[in-house]
Amino acid sequence: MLVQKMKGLSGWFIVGALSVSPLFIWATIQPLSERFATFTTTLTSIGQMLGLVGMAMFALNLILSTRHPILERFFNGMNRVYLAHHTFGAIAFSLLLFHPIFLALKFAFVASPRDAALFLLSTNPPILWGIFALLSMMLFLVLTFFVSFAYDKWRITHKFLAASFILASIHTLIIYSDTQVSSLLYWYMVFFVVLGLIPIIYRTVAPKLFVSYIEYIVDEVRPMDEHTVEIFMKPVFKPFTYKAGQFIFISFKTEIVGDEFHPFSIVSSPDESRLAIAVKTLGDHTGKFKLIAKNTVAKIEGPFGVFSNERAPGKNQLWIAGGIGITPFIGMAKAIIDPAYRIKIYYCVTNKTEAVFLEELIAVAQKNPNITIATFCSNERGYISADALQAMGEDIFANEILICGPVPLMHSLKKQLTAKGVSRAHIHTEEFALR
Amino acid sequence: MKKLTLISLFIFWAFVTSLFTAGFALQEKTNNPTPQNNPAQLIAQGAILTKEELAKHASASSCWLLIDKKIYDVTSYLNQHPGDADTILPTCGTDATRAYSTKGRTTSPSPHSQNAHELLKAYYIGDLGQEAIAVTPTASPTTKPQSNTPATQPTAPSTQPNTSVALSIQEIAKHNTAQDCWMIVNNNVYNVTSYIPRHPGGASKILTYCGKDGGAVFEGLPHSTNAHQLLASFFVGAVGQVVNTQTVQQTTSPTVPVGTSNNRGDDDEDDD
Repeated sequence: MLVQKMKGLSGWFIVGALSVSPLFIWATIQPLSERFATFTTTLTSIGQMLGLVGMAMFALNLILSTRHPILERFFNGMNRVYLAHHTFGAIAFSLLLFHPIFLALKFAFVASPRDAALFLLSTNPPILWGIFALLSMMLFLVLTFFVSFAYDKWRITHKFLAASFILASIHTLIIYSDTQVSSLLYWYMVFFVVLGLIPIIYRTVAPKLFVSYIEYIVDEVRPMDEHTVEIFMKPVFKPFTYKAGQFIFISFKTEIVGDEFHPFSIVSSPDESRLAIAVKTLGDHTGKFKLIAKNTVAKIEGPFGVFSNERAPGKNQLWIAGGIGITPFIGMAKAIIDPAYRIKIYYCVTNKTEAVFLEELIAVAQKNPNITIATFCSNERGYISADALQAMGEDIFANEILICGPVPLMHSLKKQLTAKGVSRAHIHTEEFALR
Repeated sequence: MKKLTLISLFIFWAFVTSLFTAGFALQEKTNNPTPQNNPAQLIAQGAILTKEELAKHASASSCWLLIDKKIYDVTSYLNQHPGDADTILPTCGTDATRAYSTKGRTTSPSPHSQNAHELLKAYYIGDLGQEAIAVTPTASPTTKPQSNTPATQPTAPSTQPNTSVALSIQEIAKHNTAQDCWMIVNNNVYNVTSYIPRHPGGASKILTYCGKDGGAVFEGLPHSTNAHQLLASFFVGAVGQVVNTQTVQQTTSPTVPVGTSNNRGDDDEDDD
């Protein structure tokens, strides 16, 4: 398990190290003592460093957005790749925002605030590309993060960041700076530009050439409640292999929901003949998925994710699901055949009517005496907590604890458990936040 | 992570807003005409700068501009103008106040930068209706340092003929060879002749700017603090300033120790 955790960190380490790597070349162009000799040279140097690191991180972050299966190895699951994508994206954006601030500050101190203001309004083409890159980035990020769109529209505005990257690349390669002084630094930045362009071509321009999809056709659509639907599918040619608890990206060839790819958990177990996914949508798509007709073709990418009962060392397990977070556990429960397992599932919902998968889980528990299921309704007993688990007689120290649900639930529960002395090695969470 | 994005966005716009506020407040201050404190005013050439006189200098070979009742001889600057010589030429010999303050745009007028204002001062020759107080091509002092004959230089400063030279743009432009190279950086004149063969970036990089303003390139490139100190050691005087030929010759001499900034002190004395 520790090895897996380390594995999950290697991706973070690699992206972080590669992002700062241009600084090593930058540092050799001119002695650091000179770069930081005076207040104004320091401002310039910081400005340059922010630009170089921000640009490298931007390029690497585009790589993270490709959903390439190899990324799972470095981040321990595609869902965590997205987590890293969010983090590095926010950091890169902040670095790039501060890049002109420090350079403008230099002008403000060397000359006047007016010169600094004029610098920010520069019509000098290399600077202008940079200004356009930043403004477009701000626009697209504000649209994606602070304006609520349906997932498909959100994906489109987010894709426009590729344009910002191209603008920023032009700025990086033509600006009269150290990249022009040192050809090594120039070509190293060219490397990052190419690195960032690969995923843009891979995803935006010609996905058909690079990504292999598996085709399935819809066999049955079973509405669970207003927002939730279970979709059963059969392979067109050959089924793909997956593990219980994984998720896929899927796109339906129908105008009802658009042809964008959406991530959904697999709720069937690998030995079932039909592939089943649980779909919960909010916003524009509410209710539309239940209108998907039988025999609609679906394109599937995946499977992704490493969340599994098999990755926990012990076989006495507590599974805690918050709301729709129950979905990976459904497939996992169906797939349990080893009699050594002792599993207790807590299905945490606001009220019983929300527990739409309860019936299906009870059916599984009836077939397998080693699985027991309980609901935990927050309108009756408050949110689930480490104290609540102990009060219900659970031994939090003798079990592997698997948690999947809303991020605040996972974080608070993890915090409470570790505060009580439960080792992190025995807590397994599925961070799922693709937006 | 949304929080980080939001905080960064907030800081960015707060900074930009405050910078522009400060920038515009300062702009209003500089727009008020303040008395010129240009050393060039020290020279009086006697000619009266009338509108008739101004109109005579309406070509690329001699281009005077009237801006805010002040007359500038920008002939030598025409080819260096970032917006091209063509944009200045139609206004030569006329009142260019409006063209200068709007960059000739009627729809979206855009003022010149602070740097441009500073640069313009170097070409100032006098106020309209007043006597010309700076050097013009026809009235230029002909004193030129005999840089190629340092051996004949008298060693005792007391025997040095007390001639002076005005560091006009025209004068500086004469020193445009590898044997005699002056360069303007930030409105100061430097005699970098002795340094040309030692320049780490190659002699050709400097030669391009002999007799010209190399400030943008010098500051634009990552020059070290040492480089700045070294440059200071070649200081001759400020553009428009009158300096003793002795100073000029001292700095011309390749025997001047590198890295000292004594010359600056000498010049201060010369001003007295």
